[in-house]
Amino acid sequence: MNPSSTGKRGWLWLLLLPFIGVGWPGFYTSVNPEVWGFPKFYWYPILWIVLTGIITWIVYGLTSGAGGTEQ
Amino acid sequence: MFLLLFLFATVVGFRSGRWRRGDLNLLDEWGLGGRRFGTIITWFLLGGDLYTAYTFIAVPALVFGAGAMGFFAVPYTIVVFPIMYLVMPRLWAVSKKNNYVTTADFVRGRYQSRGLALAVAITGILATMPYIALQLVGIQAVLTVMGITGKGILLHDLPLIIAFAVLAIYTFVSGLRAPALTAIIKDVLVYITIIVAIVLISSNLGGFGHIFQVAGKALAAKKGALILSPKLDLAFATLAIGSAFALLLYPHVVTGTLAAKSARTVQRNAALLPLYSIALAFIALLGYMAIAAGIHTKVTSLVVPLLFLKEFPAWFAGFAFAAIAIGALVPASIMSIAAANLFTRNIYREYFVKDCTPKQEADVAKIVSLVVKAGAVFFVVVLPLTYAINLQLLGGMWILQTMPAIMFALYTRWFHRTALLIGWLVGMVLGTGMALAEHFKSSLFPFHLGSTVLLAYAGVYAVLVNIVVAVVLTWVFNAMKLSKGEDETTQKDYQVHQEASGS
Repeated sequence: MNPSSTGKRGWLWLLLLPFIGVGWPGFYTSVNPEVWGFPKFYWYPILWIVLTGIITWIVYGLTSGAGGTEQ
Repeated sequence: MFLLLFLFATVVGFRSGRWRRGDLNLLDEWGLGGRRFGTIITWFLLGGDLYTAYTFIAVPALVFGAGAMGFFAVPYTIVVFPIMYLVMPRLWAVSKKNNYVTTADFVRGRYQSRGLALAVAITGILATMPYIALQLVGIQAVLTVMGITGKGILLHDLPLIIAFAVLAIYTFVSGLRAPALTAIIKDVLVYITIIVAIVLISSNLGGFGHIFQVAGKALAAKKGALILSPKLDLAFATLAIGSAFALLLYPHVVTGTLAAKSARTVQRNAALLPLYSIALAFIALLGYMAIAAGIHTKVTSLVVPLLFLKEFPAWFAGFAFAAIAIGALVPASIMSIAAANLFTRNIYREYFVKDCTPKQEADVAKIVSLVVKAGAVFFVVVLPLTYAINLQLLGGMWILQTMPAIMFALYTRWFHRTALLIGWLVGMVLGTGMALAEHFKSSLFPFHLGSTVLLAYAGVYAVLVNIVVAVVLTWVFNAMKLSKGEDETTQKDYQVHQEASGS
């Protein structure tokens, strides 16, 4: 393990974001605003699927051997 | 169309044994594909594993019947990936280092506890069996709608039995490579089906806005709702998060993960697998499309097949049905391999033939994979369907009870092995008790706290008690100076970034 990897591990906290985003349905149990006819209760979690993929990919990049920035 | 695609998948399944050839007389080769699957194959394999035919049938059926509550499947398949990213690469690393094939192998090595390992193995097998049986329901639903079922008890299920016999034989011959390659065909079919369904059915029915409107009115007339009632917030949240943890503990998911060629492959997959969740979200919405299309059926597993039959041209309905049927074969195959691995490594070798050769080990696993599938067919053909569904509901709660022994152990050796075993037992009894008290009507349990009623996933209640028991007893047993057992793993074994040094 190289010395910088402990600092990089801080990026793992980003993985909590999806839990905050969709963990509690009370945040998105509403009809409005609608998008393309989808009530918020439906489009909002679908949006989070995409965000989760992106966040996980970013964490993957930041914690890999090269190119990671230290916190 | 259906038969043609089904045949094609079968041929691929049989020939897959030759792909990246390994010695199929070794359990590592037969049961884990030699731990050589790269990012893309792992993606297809885990995709076929996590999103099964039963999911395609059951999730829209739940949305069709109950509305918003059924959509818990989406947050569930979101939060599962951050957990997977953190936990599964550690499991991969320690298993690779110590040649573990199952989670019970890991628990045995970590705690030097045969009892705890046996508990994990039995829980895994018990939870997997009804899951395999339910894959058959997917095939059965499709066959029923297509009208390829004969008359009389035996003839009625003949096509189903043939489909499963084919599956059993190619799994026997090719091991984990068979579902890995079949999964690619399955996914191509599934994605095409979903895209066509979204475009074609939604425009047939006047767009999503209209579909939601009609569904909202229809749901209000029964007990469902288009938007979740605040009273169900806790139930929805605990179901999503509890199911996410449970999923990663299932033997078939562990098998799929350990077959990857590196811990980084597993991490990459945690980032790429959410693509399937998008498909799942739209599959869930098929439930509303079915309402808007005026589908009426008491057998909820027929909702999706009936919708396809009504809205698609005949040849494309056949295409979609093949997607569901092949979608059942992939996970069923992996599940039977996973159950066979557990039985062979942690029961047969541990208790019956201690000095068995690697070849014997692989042979036993192959035979067990056949027995497991025969058992599943027997289950579905002979017993009423509700048994399989109830057991599957229990299976999810049961497998969740292995979380402290497996997931916590990946991070800490603090817990006492006997405390974990007793915690597991308490959780199992409690979960089963709550399901019985609710007459298997749902996996939710109303917990009365003074005048407030907290309705939540029973599995989550059970695992919380399980954890508390394990913590308290760890203090007690440590105070009593009870032996904690040797740990054959070292901290370094869990490091995800060790592969650069070449292993």
